[in-house]
Amino acid sequence: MADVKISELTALTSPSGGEELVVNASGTTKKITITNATSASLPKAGGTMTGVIAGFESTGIDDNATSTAVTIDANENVGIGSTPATDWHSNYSVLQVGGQADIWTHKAVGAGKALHISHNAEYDTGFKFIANDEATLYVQADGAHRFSHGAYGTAGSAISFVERLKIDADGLTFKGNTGGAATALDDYEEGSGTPVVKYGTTTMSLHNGALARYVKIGSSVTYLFEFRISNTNSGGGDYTLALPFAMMDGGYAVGGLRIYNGAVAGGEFLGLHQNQSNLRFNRNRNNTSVTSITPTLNAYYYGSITYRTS
Amino acid sequence: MALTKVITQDKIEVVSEFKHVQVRTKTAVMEDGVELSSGFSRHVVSAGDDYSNESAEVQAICAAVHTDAVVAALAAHVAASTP
Repeated sequence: MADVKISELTALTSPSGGEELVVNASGTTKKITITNATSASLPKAGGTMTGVIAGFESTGIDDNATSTAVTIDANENVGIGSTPATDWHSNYSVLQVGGQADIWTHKAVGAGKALHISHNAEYDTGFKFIANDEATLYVQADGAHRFSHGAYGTAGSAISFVERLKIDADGLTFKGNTGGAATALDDYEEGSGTPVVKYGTTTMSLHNGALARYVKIGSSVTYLFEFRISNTNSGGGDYTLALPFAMMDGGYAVGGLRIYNGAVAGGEFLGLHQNQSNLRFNRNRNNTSVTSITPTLNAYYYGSITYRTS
Repeated sequence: MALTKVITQDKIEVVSEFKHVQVRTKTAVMEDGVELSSGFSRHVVSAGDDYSNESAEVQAICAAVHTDAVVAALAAHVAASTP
C-alpha cells in the first residue's frame, strides 16, 4: 500500500474501537487503537469520572438541567441560584441565595466581627436596597443578636436600618434601647397553685376548686385567684393571701376584689406594701385609713393584682 | 411505659433586704424518664414565718438568712404599713 498522509485519511464518524493507527518512527512501529486513545481522556458525555483533576477551573457549577446552580465570582462570593452582586464590600464573604437574601460575614477574625443575614439589602460602603421594598437585617456580633428593619426604599438607595429587638446577656431590649439590664425583659414564667389564705397567722381551710395563677413578665407579676373559705380555723386578725413573689422595694400596689354572697361594706380592695409577700383584704375606712375585712364563710372571693418584684 | 410525677424545688431565691426566700416548685409528668409536661407553683417564706415544714434545703437557707435582726426589721416594716 502506498504511503498516505494522515491528513488524507478518511475520518470515522462512528469508531468501533477496533481501528488502528500505525506509525513508523525511525524503524519502530507503534500502534494506537481508539480504545487506547479514549481510555486516558474524559468522556464527552456520560461515563464515570474518577481520580484527581489538577488545575480544574470553572466559572460556575451546573445543575442537572441547563441552569447555573452555584456561582463563585472573582471575589470568592457565592451565589445559589443567582450571580452574587459585584459591589459587596471586600471585607465580607458573601453567600447570596436567590436574588435578595444574603448571609455575609467578615473575612477577618477578631473582636467586633459579625455575622449578617439580610433580605433586600446589600452593603458596599453602606447599606442599600436591592429592590423597591422594605428590608430586614439580623446581626450576630459582640455576644448580641440584633434584629433591624429598613423602611421602604427604592433599589440602589441607602437604607437606614432601625434596631427593633436585641437579645444579649441582659435579656430582650426593644427599639434600640441602650438602658442595659435595667430596661431589659429578662424573664417569663407562669404558674398555678392552691391559694394559702390566712386569718391572722392561722391558715384557713378552703373548699375544693380554689385556684391561683400567676404570670411573671420581667419584673411584673400578675396574680389571679378565686376561692371559698370553708373554715376559719378559729383564726383572727388580718385577712391575707400568700403571693408567689415578694413585692420589690418601693411603692404600693392595689388590686380589685369581687365578693359574691359574702359580707360587703363597700370600698373593698386588695393592698400590697413594698417588701411584703402577703396580699391584704382591705376596705377604705375613710379618706385616710383602711381596715382589714372580715372573711365570710362560703363566700366566693375573686381578685387580681399586678405588682413588681425583684 | 410508666408515668411518674416528679416534684422538685428547682429554684430558690433570696430577695430584698428582708431576705424573702422565694421557692419555685416544679411538678413534672415523666414517661420512662422523658418529661411529658411540667408546671410551676411558688411560695415565699418571709422572715419570721414558720419554716419547719419546708424542705431541708429551704430550712437551711432560712436559718442562715432569717436572723433575729432581719426578723425584727421585717416585723417593724409590716407593723409600719399595717392599716
